[in-house]
Order: sequence, then C-alpha cells, then structure tokens
Amino acid sequence: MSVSAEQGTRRRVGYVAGLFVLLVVLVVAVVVVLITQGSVAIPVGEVIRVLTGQHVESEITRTIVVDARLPKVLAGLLAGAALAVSGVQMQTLFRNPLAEPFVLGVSSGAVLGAAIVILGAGGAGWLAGIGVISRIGVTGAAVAGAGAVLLIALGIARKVGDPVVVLVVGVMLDYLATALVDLLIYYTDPDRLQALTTFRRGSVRNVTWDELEIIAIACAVVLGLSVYLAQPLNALLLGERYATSLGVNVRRVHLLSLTGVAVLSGITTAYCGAIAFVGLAAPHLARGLLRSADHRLVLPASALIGAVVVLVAEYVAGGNGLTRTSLPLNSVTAFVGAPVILWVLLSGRARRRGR
Amino acid sequence: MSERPVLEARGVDAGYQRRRRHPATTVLRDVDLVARPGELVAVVGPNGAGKSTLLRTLVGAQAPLSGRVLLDGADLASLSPRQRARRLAVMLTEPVDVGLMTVESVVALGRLPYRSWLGTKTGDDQSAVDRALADAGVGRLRGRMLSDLSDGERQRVMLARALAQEPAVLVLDEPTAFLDVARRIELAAVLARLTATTGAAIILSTHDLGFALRRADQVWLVGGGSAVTASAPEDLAYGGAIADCFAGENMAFDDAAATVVVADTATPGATARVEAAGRVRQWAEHAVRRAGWAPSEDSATVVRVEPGNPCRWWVDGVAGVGFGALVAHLRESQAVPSMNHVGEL
Repeated sequence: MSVSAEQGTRRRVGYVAGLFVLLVVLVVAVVVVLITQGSVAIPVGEVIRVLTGQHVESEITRTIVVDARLPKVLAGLLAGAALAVSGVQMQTLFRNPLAEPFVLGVSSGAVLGAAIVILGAGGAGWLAGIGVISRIGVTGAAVAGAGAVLLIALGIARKVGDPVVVLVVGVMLDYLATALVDLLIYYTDPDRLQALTTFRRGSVRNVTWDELEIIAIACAVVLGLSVYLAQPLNALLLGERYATSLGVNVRRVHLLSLTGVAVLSGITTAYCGAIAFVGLAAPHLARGLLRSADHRLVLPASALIGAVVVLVAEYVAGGNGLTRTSLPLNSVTAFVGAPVILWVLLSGRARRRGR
Repeated sequence: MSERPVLEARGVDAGYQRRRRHPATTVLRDVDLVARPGELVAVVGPNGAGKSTLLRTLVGAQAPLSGRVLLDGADLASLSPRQRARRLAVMLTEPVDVGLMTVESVVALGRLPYRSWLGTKTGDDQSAVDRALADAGVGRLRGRMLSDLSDGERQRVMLARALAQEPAVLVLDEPTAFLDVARRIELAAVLARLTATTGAAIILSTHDLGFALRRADQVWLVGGGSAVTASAPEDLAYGGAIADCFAGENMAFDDAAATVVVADTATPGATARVEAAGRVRQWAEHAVRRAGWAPSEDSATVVRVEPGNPCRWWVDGVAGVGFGALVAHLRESQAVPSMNHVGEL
C-alpha cells in the first residue's frame, strides 16, 4: 500500500472513531437531560446517588428518577436502537432504501396482532390479574403480526422489484391492518378499548420496569444477532446471486434477519406504540455520516442515532413536561422521517435500486 | 495439457424444474467438459441454447439433473458453500448498486469465505485484496466510491472482487456485454494475463465470436440440439460447427473476420474484377459486394481503384472519388430495381 493510501486509511479510521465517540456522547447527553430536567429539576449528583443506592434527601426524588424517568428513557433508548437496526436490515433485505417497519405496515401488523389478543381474549380481568403474562401474550401476538406483514411484503417485493411500488404496497398493507383493527374496535366492548389506545400512538411514557425487562432482553439478543449478520448482509448488498457465490446461505440470513426484525419491531410496538420513521431516517443518516454502507459500522451507528432521535423527539414532544406540549412521538419523528423519504425519492436512489 | 482438471462435467444433464413435482425440462444432455488450470474457455452459442443453464450448473447455482460436476476432483454438491466459494468465483452480468462503498471495501467482500463470523481482517486478506486490485488494474481506484465509476471501471472492480476470492476457477457471465470495442479488447488482455499470473481457469460466456475464437484456448459450443461441443476454436471454425450453429438463412461464417456475417446476395451475372492491391483491394471488394456484385477474376467488368483518402476509381471508363460513390455507381449501372440490399451487420 502506498504512503498516501495508508494516510487516507488512518484519517478514515480516526473519522469513524470520532463519529462514534460523538454519537455516544450525544446519547449520554440526551439521557442526562431527560433524567435531570423536567417539571422537577434534579441535579446530576442526586441522580447518581439514587442510582448507586446511596442515601437521598427526599424519597420523591428517588421515585421520580427510578419509577418515572429512568424506565421511560431506557425504553426510548432501546426502541430507537431497535427500530433503527430493523430499518437497516429491512433496507438491505428488500434492496429498497425506503423499507422500514412503520412505512411498510409492519408496525400496523404488530398492532393488529396485539389488538386481536387484547380485544378478542375472553374474560374481562385479563389486564388486572396476570399483567406480565398477558403482556407476553400480547407481545407474542404483536411479533407474530409484524412477522406476517414482513413475509407478505417481502414476498411482494421479490416479485415486483420496483422500490416505489413496494412502498405503495406497504402503505396498502398498513391501511388494511389498520382497517382490520378499526373493525375489531367497532365490534368490541368499549371497556377494553382503553388498553388499545396506547398502542395506536407512539409513546414511551407508560413503560414499567417489568416491561422494560422484556424489551431489554429481546433487544440484547436480537442486536447481538445482528452483529453476526453484519457480514452476510454486506454480501447481500451485491445481490442474492453474488452473496450465494460468496458462500452465504441466503435463505438462512433472510430467515434470521426477518425473525430479528419481527421481534424488534413487534416488541417496540407492543410497549412503545408504533413509532414512525425512525427506522427509515436513522440508517440513512448513519450511511451519510459514515460515507459507507458497511453493516459493521452502519448497524451500531444507526442504533445510536435511532436512540438519539427517539429521545430528542420525546423531549420535544413534551416528556417530563419540559415543553408546554404533549404530543405523540410520531408527530415529532415525522419531521425527521418525511424529509428523508422525500430526499431519497427525489435523489433518484429509489429508482436505481430496482432490479 | 497433462495438468489435472480443476473443473469437470461428467455426463451432466442440465435443465430446470419450473414447478415442484413437475417433470424437469432438460436443456443440455450428456455434457462432458474439462477445464484445466490457466485455460481461457469461451462458452458460445445462440440465445436460448442453454449457455446460462450450463454456467449455472457448473457453478452449482442449480444442481445437474444427472451426472456430476467436479471441482478439484470433488463433487460440487458435497462441498459446503464456503468451501466452494474459496475455489470458485463468479462475475455476473447484472449491475450492482451497493450504495456508498469504496472500491476497496467492495473488493474486500471477496474475502468473506475466508473470514470468521466477526469479520476480523487478517494480513492475508489485505495482501489478497491488494493483489486483486492490481491484477484487475483498478489499484488507483481503491479509494473511490463504486457508484462514481463508469460501467467499464465498475466491471473491472467486480472482476477484482472475484479475484480476491483467490479462485481456481473464475466464471464470467457475458463480461463483454455492455462494453465498447476498446473496453472489450482491454478486458480480453486482462483476462489472458490473469490466466498466466493466477493460474486460474477462466470460463466466460460471450456473444462476441471474434473474441472467443481469437483469445480462447478452448471453445464450448452450446447449441445444435442439446449438445455441447468442446474443442479448440480453430477446429470448430474450420470444421464448420460454428457456422452450422449460428448461421441461419442469408448468413455465412466469414473466415477472415472470424465471425458470422450477412451472406452476399449478389445478382446473378453482376461480377467485377477488382484491380487493386493490399488493403485497398480488400475494401474495394467489400464495396463491390455491398453494391450487390460478386468479385470475380474472370469478369469482363474491371473495377480499378488507386489508393488515396478518398480513393480514386475507374469502372468501364467512368471515374470517381471515394468508395461511397463507387457503390452508388455500381448499383446504378446494374440497374436491377427489384434487388434487395441486405446491409452488413
């Protein structure tokens, strides 16, 4: 390798490392702001004392930090990372820069799955009695719903090929799932509807520690899996035939990746609602900043960016009473996501990707 | 020719199964082929004869309906995908759009079959990538984005990516398809050099008969019923196999041009004796044929052409300048209004 090439490589490594440090700092900063700031401001020192289990002056502080703010922040962090990682994998699997759980109706599929269990389950006291177990049932249904829509969408995408058509198909699947949910609601006892409302608009505000445990375990497993998938996904960028010629078991990668995406988007939808556009915007921002499509870099960078986007959106949407508004997360994330969709469409990348 | 074959087809029937539990369609029957290290093999044949089916079967993308494909003496079906990928690389016609990736990182994808699942880079990987970039002649492009390159450059990068697999057999599907004449010649030179430097057997399918006949050590002719004929290019051309395979009505195999051309549709009796030398004579005869006349040594009509640019010519006392005018004059003086001129391909 020539001297200048070596210099270029070193500069590049420095840039990438710097970018990751910056992203981690950003995540930490947003987390600190969301824990310390709010209708009641709590100094960082107090927070640290609470977290390390030392004596705190007032129990209210402890309650605010541990029960109100921390679960919400962690849920936002994990949901953002999960959606972003789902988005990266879907964009590669679908060979479509516009693929994303929300846009292709996967989130709505998850809502449909959950709605069937919530509204269709016999006996009224399901939520009061066995909270966690029924939650798991609902979660499973959400994951199954997400998986079903993913399979349908991928089946169509492989037939059609044109990313823009696939986008329209996704929107249709989204309408269909939403219409089915509306139908279910229409024929259901109004008492049960309360449980469904959180599903239908993104929110990380009602997440409890029990729920967080499930989210955390699932995210850890699937995010770990995506490390293993990074290289085969790189090969898939060349197309399925090239990937096969490189010794990649394309069917297995598809299966693992789809399962991962179904679990991640199903679970985030089950606990935080359908959060829009994060899965679309974060991967594009990550690729743009990294100037690379290498999944070994794009996956972790997207996860960090997704976390930042969701937490910042939560701040803007009025979590902790920081702003005078109280919006669903989606209204905020749309401001990030919609421009990215437009940019992708107008820059012509969507067309060129077609097979 | 005593070297051990790297790729071998033994009694292979190739075809495809459109639907499960339906009888398979056999495209090629009882194919026996051998490729040795350092050989450049051209697979030629008319469209739809089964070139793609043959290549797909040879690289293991589809299983043979019967018979065996051997890679280094081992049955292709018994190798794991990774083992296969270390010995056999492909370059496809389909364009790739990987988004933001540098040439070097695309080529480095060729090292995938050698890497652990974490993808840690070893010194071997880096040197193999460097060598592949140099062999394909794209070393200076290493830091560029793949999407910024021209078609020809991009194809060379995909060639480098295949070379990074350090294959014993390299299979290229229609590598000359989208290239202009200069890029084709360049690619031919690169491939010929690669067979020498890497010792790999290179098998490529092509529509470019001239390229196949001039450069290949061996031609696999697909067509003429479900058979594949393997032979030296000269044997196939001289024996008439290529002409039989390609030439339809109004076509002939032109030995000098080493390709199939439109047959001359000379009007009976319209013959001319060409008086010229060297290249002028060659092109003067070309012009005579194009006008619908047949060059003949004992014709009464004499076409005399003198070199120059444009050339000067005389036909039966009429003089003129340039081949275009000559053709026009010959066509006019023949005065056969019903004659159909079939243009040169």
